Amino acid sequence: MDQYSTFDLIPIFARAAGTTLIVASSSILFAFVIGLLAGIALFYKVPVLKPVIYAYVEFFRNTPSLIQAYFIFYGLPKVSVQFDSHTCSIIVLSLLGGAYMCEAIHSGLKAIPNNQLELAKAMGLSRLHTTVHLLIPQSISTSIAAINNNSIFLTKEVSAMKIILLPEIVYQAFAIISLRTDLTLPVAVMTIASYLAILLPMTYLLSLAERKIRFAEFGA
Amino acid sequence: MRNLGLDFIATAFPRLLDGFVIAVQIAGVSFLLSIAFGFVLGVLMTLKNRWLSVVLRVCLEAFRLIHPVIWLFILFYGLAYAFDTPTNGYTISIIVFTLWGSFEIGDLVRGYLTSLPRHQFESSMAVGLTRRQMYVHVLLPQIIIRTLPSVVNLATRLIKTTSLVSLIGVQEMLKVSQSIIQVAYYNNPTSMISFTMYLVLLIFYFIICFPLSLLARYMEKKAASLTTGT
Repeated sequence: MDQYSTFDLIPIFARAAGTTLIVASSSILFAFVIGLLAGIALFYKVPVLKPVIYAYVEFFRNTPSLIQAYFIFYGLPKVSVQFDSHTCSIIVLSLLGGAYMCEAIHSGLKAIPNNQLELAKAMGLSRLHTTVHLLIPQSISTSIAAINNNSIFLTKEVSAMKIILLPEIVYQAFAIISLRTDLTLPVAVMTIASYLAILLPMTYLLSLAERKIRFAEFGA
Repeated sequence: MRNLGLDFIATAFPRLLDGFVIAVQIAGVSFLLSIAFGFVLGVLMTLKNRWLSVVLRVCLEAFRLIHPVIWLFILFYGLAYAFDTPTNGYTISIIVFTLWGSFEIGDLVRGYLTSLPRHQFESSMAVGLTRRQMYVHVLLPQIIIRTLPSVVNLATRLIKTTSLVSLIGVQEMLKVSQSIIQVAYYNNPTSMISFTMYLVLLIFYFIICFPLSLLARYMEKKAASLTTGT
């Protein structure tokens, strides 16, 4: 570590950014799936599931992600449920994001006019077909902006997973600074550069996706 | 029962409450300050000055794209490193949350101000209101009604984010509970305290934040019915 120069920081940060990217993208994916399923279940008012999902969404929305992570990483092993820090971060972020995604997708579903559902019924579409061909595409298209915001939020939230020892960007930055205080400035620059390298293309891709998806919106 | 460490939590409960008070102080002070600064920033963002709006836009995006935990660390260690003086975690967290909240509220206010129909500005001018009167009597009441739900939402986000300040050594609830956990382990290595303690904390935060988010939702409905037909 002693002879490390500014230049040697680049591979370290590249690897850390890779970790952030992997954890972020997998939790966005899982969060989306959780949100979609939970949103549809809420929409159909499935008897037992509805209060459970409601409790889940409100619980995760109204507690700090930091403490959720501590609870799952340090608390659950006491009742013999143990995860490594990668899995644990993905679990925390997926559940957290799932709660937000559920909210977004549910409001997208509620915005669908009732006569469409009646029409689908009149045309003899089964519930599965109605869901797959009518509800899901439209709800995604109306809530895509919120979904994108949540994805960015989750990507940023990966940095809070530093506390459960996930070797992501902020974790590495502080590991280096604690050994070499003279590298503070380059480390700070590299931290911000790595975040920009992830977030700028991501925001671009997401807004591109938003335009593509909303292109087919009914009556737009 | 002993293994759950509930007795430790009960004994240390006053200390937890102290931590709670600190968290509420940080959230409360920065919340009030961000409302004050946020309205000013929001009005500044609508002005037609190109440089000002570019600078404010960059600051807003910086606070949006960079997680508060990074800002806390940058200011906490950065200021100490740059000026060679020890920094106070409590002050730094208030500064960070105030800046963050001000830009968030500023953007809400800007968004609403720009969405107001032009005739409101013109009508106020036509009835002979001065610029100040227009802002105070015409625009401000509408902005308050419309932005209140999001502002309450911001309050819950601020309260949730205060758990981060434990990372820069402020003795709030999370930090206190970590020391409770350490003491409990020291006395009883097989204790399950980290399970119960964090669960208690989660419930604690939930009890504070859940009513606030219900309030925000109620206000949203109310505001929508109060200001129909912008």
